Amino acid sequence: MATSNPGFQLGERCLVKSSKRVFAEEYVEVGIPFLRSKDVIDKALGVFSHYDLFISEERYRDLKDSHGSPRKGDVLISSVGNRSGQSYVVQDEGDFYFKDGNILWLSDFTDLDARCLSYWLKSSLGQHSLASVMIGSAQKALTIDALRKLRVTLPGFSEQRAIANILGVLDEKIDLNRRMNATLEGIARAIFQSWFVDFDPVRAEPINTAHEMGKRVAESLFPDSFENSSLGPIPKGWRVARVRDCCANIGNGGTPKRDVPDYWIPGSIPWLTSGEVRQSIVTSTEAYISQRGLENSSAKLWPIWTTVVALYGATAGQTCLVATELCANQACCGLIAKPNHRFFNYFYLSSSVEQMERQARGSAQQNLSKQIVEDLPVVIAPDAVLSEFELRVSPMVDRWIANLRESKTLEAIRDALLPKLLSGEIRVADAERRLQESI
Amino acid sequence: MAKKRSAQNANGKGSGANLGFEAKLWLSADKLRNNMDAAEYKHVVLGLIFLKYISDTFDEHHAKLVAGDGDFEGANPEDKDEYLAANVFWVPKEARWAYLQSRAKLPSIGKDVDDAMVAIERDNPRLKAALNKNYGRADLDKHRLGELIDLIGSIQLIDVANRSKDLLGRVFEYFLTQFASAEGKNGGQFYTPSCIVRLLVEMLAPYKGRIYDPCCGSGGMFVQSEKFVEAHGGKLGDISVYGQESNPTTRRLAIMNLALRGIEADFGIENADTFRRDLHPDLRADFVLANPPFNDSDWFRKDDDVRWKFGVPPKGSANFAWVQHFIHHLAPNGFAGFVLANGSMSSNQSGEGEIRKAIVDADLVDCMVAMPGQLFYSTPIPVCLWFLARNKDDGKRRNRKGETLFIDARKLGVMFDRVHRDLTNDNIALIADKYHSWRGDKGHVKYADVAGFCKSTIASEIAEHDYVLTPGRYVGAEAVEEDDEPFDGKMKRLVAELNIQFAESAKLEAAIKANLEDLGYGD
Repeated sequence: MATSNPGFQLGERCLVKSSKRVFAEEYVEVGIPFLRSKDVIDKALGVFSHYDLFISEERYRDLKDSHGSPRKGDVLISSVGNRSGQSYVVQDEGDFYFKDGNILWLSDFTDLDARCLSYWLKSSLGQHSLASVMIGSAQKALTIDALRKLRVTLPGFSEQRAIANILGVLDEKIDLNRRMNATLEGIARAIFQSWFVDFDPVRAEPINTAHEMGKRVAESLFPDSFENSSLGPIPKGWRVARVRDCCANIGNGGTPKRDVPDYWIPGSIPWLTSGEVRQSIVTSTEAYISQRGLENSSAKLWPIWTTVVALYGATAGQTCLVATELCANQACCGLIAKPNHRFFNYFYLSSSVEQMERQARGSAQQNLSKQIVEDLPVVIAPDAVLSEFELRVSPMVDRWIANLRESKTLEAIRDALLPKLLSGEIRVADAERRLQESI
Repeated sequence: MAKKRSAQNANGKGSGANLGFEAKLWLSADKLRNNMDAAEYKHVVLGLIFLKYISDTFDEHHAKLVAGDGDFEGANPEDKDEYLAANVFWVPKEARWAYLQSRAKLPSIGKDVDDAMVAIERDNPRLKAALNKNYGRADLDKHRLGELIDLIGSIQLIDVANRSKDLLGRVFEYFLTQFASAEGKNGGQFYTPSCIVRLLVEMLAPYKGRIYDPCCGSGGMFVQSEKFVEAHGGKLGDISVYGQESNPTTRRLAIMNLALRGIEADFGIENADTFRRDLHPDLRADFVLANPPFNDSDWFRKDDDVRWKFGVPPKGSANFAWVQHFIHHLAPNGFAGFVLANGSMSSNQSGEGEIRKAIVDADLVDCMVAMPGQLFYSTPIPVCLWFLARNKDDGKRRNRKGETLFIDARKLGVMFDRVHRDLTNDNIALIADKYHSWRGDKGHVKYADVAGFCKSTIASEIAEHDYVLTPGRYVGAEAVEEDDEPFDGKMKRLVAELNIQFAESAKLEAAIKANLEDLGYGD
């Protein structure tokens, strides 16, 4: 049952402030991280990678002692630019400080769960409410005063906590999946590097190889000596070839004519753009084309386990493995693997970005070509080694893909639940009780 | 412990002379610009700075003559020859700064400045046609002009009097940079970023001899060369300077820029297009330093030009016309270092590939450097530096016949704002030292290839790469930082992490299930 909730002004339930000004001259190369609006947004969206700015420890101590600094559980909100109003709940992440006027800081909550507030701010209701208090038309901005007066509609405190817990666990699992995939990729890559780049099993004394799998493989599959090649010493019996020798077929994608609606609707075939090659494994695409579009363009259907290299644009040289049958635009080069080369091709090409970039041509923009990709030199192992690699890596890749799919489902559940929970349409009484019991 | 270095210092380190003082002065001067275009205002301001400079130098010498000590005993302070003898510009009474400043508030100040400029040119033939005489025009606000004169007049007050010459040189340079930045796209025509000029100069090391820049802009290459000579214990006059510039107003900047530093330069009789009319036809330079316009498609070509020894350059791009012009003017042991767009290293269009091949086959290419992008104000395109040597076995260095050094510097540099990159002094030293040790210059360590950064190659390797000179093709992969984590250890760590994640995953799965059940969405 949805009831109209008069809500409260945000300023009644927490402190809203910004930081003490820090001047550009005060940035140092090494020190305490200093956040700008962009960093908060990236953290809010889970795509944060690294800090660019730092201030000295002394300066940070001064600021912290005189004005305080954000602690775990506080909320930071981007307050300038088109992406104003993104909120981030501070985790247990050590000391940092942030830019005044770019970021607003909420702390000292009373009867307000910070995580739940952050979910509310992300909801369409919250976004709408934020938009109504923002100033500026070209350059949007949130002021401290406006945020204090922001009308927030949330249920009681224990309900807030239950909601935050339900949604929070979903987000935790999504984040865990991301981390687990990084671990799985790390393991698969480490094996790839050890076998096909460093040739460890050839070097290693089998007796000293602690790792059981390494030992067995080293004894049965790897030679015990090297021979010379144009790429330096390689394991005896292996050969130097080019990437094209690892592929059944190589070709670029294509784009159906935009002005023929038939080619796009009904869209049934996933159509990859080079921007999406940023992902390591692609399970689905943003755009789709129709069967007629596929038939009447140079786009080709590539089978699952095709490795795709982006040829130009901002993602040139990026590589992905496709976990579903799809086609792609002309900025993508698809390498359909020979048997036993599915994962080898992906790991080899994705570790050759720099090598490809060095071959890139063009004065303004550095472009790759199908030719550059297929000409890359590569050391090919005998089939037995390649199939052992496939066998070992395959379950890791499968789990990785399962995690990606699971995360998509979890996101969909979260986004479906969020408005219903916040509006009270779905009651959380049982979840509240369970939360109480577990404490 | 946190390392302390302010962002401003880090910038200053890269951009050369960059003190707060110049910046403040710039802000004040820019305020007075009002509605005027930066391109036009540039000539107004720089002309006044120059006037202040020659007036200050004159005053300094004047004071010595008045004191009449030592050599100057009995000298007449108003005798022009006394100044000529000391290589100081003679400044007639009506052009002296104090006089102009006293009249700065009068509405006639524009005409006064014009008269001063005319008088200076009349008495100093070296400055003929070099000065801006357009201060009297109606659209130049006389009130603001007066304020500008007061502002520039204050420069001396800030510094000790006898250092004002140096200071004015720095102000002039700083203003040039700022105008290049303010003019944006067109700024590149008269100004080459100082880090590129410094790198060219550090690599060519022009200690002595003739230096030539056939597209000299405001003369930055010469100023930097002179600084190099002084920094290495040489003296003014160890090098002689030859330039040519097609744009008449830019040529004025060059004349002022060099006069300000007491460098005598031969810019030919007037402004002229290097391809139409070569003003120094018989010059054989020891060093050519240049930053010609990129991929100029609107250039004058004479098909039977004596300079086209390696092939007639295409009408659509002057790149290889410039390269051949440089080669044409090199002395038998001369070196050339110049900036070109990256396309010059690999293009095969309209015969450029054949010209490049002929130049490589003639064993002229000494070193190629790929530069990072975003170094220019006018364009973000990445550029490269070419270094040609007429004689790779000149007896002074290692015999490098048939060899070429490739340097890939694309990863160097720091961003000093969102769109502009700068090379630091360390970057410049790193690149220049590699070249010097490769050449076998005295006092440099033995050369060694660095994977991913530099590679010494032989001619047949370049032929294998179809005469493409892009350093990235030769330097190979950067040595991956030795993975200090052995395979076994790394796997143990990753597997342990994975096990924890699996356990956590199970827990989270249970929690999610329970939550959803609570909401009425069980199995």
